[in-house]
Amino acid sequence: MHTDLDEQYDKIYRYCYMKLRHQQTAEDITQETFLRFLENKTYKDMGKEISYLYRIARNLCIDQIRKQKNEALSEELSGCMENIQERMAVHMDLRKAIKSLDAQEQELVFLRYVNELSVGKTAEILGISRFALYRKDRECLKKLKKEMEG
Amino acid sequence: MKQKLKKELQMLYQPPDPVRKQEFLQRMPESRMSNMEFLRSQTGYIGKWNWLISVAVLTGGICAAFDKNRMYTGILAAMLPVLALSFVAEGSRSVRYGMEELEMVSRFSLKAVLMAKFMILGLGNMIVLAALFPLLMWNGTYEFLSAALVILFPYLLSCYCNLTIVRKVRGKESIYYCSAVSVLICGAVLVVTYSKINIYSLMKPLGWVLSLVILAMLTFREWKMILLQSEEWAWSF
Repeated sequence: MHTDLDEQYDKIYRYCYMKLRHQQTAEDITQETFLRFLENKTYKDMGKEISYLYRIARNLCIDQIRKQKNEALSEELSGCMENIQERMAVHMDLRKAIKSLDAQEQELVFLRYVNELSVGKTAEILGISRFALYRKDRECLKKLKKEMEG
Repeated sequence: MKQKLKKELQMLYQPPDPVRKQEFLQRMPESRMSNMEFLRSQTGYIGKWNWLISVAVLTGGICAAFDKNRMYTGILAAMLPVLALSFVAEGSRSVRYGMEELEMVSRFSLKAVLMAKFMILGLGNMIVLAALFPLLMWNGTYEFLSAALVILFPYLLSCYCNLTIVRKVRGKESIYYCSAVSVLICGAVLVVTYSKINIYSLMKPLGWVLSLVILAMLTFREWKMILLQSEEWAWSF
């Protein structure tokens, strides 16, 4: 029944998890994102205004990161990070390569290649022009390739 | 390279499964679809051959417009029952193939689907028929009434007969009867056109107008009856 919503839920959750690295918080933020989106928009708008959905999620994640900076990391969060690190060990090279990118570049790679958003939507979310996005995309791929080969 | 990278990145960023997703989605209100969106979605299910027949009829109309000897008019008039057949066959496909059970569990009722399909096809046919009038009257070959007779009589007659058959005969075999009736009407139109029978002298112009109006009303009634019975069909399948 909610095919689009179902799919978008997973993508927004993955996006929040990429930003926060905490399952419960990522899920809370995901749900909050949808509730805020549907306060002003309908399901029909979801396909068209996907960048709006991501912008809400992004802002909520930034707020959450700011809050977390003031608080000590909980045990759960530390445990979760260890799990991620274990899992990431499998993709060590790629992980290292990703780390060499700055925050915006990492987000770009995530949106374009993990959540498979179009160039237009990614540019809207990141607040840059399509031309700049193409250029950054090429640079990111070059950097990743270089890091993984080297 | 990009595909491989994409796969690896997706694996790298794979989060743990969400715990409260289903619970959250179930609480969300049902999505609503506007009538226009519903019509647009149904247009996608209409077979391409339907639109091809419409194009063929229009092409026939263009040929008839340039033909002063009225040679193509008979062919055009004989194509109109086929257009009517395609209208009825496509519009009533759900009924013919016993899709009622499937329609019952789907989002929209059989009645809504039938209505949408008939509306889309009917609108398409209306555009084609309306375009044929200026084409036939273009070089003064036909007057309005004679053009109306050539265009509407075979179409409406075929529509009426086919809709009645679909309503009365359930299942796949209804299409065979519909085809047979349409072929008969096509044949009759061709015989009348090429045997030089002056069909207009059989009745006064008012009589022809009345017969067209009655035929249109009967066709509309049959269409309405099909819609009304669709709910009953869905429950008694």
